[in-house]
Amino acid sequence: MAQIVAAMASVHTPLLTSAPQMADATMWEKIHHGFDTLRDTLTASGADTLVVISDEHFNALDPRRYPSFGVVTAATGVGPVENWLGIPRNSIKVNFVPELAEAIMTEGVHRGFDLTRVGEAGLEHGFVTCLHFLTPRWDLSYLWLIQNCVLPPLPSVGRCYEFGRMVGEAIRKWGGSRRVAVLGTGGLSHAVGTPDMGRVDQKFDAKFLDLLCANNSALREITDAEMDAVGNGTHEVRNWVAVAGVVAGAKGEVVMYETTMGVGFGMMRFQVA
Amino acid sequence: MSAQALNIMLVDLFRSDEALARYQQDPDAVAADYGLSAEERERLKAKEMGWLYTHGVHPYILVQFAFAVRYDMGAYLKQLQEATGQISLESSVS
Repeated sequence: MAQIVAAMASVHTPLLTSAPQMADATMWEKIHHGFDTLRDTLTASGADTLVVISDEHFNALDPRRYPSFGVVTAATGVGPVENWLGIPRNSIKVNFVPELAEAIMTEGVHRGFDLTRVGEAGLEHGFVTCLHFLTPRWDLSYLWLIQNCVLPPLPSVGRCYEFGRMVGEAIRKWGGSRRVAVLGTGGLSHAVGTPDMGRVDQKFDAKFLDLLCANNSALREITDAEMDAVGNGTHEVRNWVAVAGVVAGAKGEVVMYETTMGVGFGMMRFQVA
Repeated sequence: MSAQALNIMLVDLFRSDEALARYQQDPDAVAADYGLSAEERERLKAKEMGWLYTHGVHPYILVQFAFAVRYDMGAYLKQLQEATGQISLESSVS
């Protein structure tokens, strides 16, 4: 049976690669230390497969046909698709695990999640920016699960938690001997493309990180109104919540929290036995 | 999603260098292909980000279009703030 050997979450701000000058040298030391810590966790876990739970930002999917939950089922992915990300367009190629993607599709639909099978999906910054630092040789096998955090109506936070729980059970039921790590990306509080771009709400972020690390039922009660109040990009914390569902009950620890690059800049990991 | 034609067109432009180059060469022809209104066509040609924002372009789509055409982000924010009457919150942390 496949095993879940690591679970973590990180911001995915594209400014990490498109505008690294937005953080000074001292901040970059902290950022590198955060990514080093997550990478060490990943390496120590012996993971051979990395499941990324992220939203996408209209680079991979068509806004006219937009799923709440999408499973990328292609065998390979190429990106980044953005011409502004600071990484040459389409210079990265990854191998996905379509058999695991199909296993999650099946488990999900059987359990009442009307998942959308997404064939090929161009890799975009929701997938690329963290991994540029965490697995810079792109040498694991990957899976990309897309949650809608950008085009209302959005699935509730509670639903995203349950989605994660289903994904965790699908992975554990899946045959073979893969060692699977899970990474959620996006958030924390921030505003994207709106007049309040640049704002961060440390109070929201502190509360969210407390709930996430405790990983109990209170996490599922965070509302759209709370997130709307602190910036449209904040809705991406759903991807962190889904990881909490994958390792339901496991406690977490904050690896770093700063405010830089216009986001509540956080990273965390769960204690996975 | 309101302003659907505009949103779809901008997505196509920021996803493809070729589509963007074609738009830059002949904006009226591309706008006609997507069925933009005359006002949408002219406001987009003038890159009136504040108008586009207040007339239904999705903020993620608008900002990525701005990135793709290397639009100055300070000017972008200023335009949106003027169009909406929201005061500058840039760099604010609460």
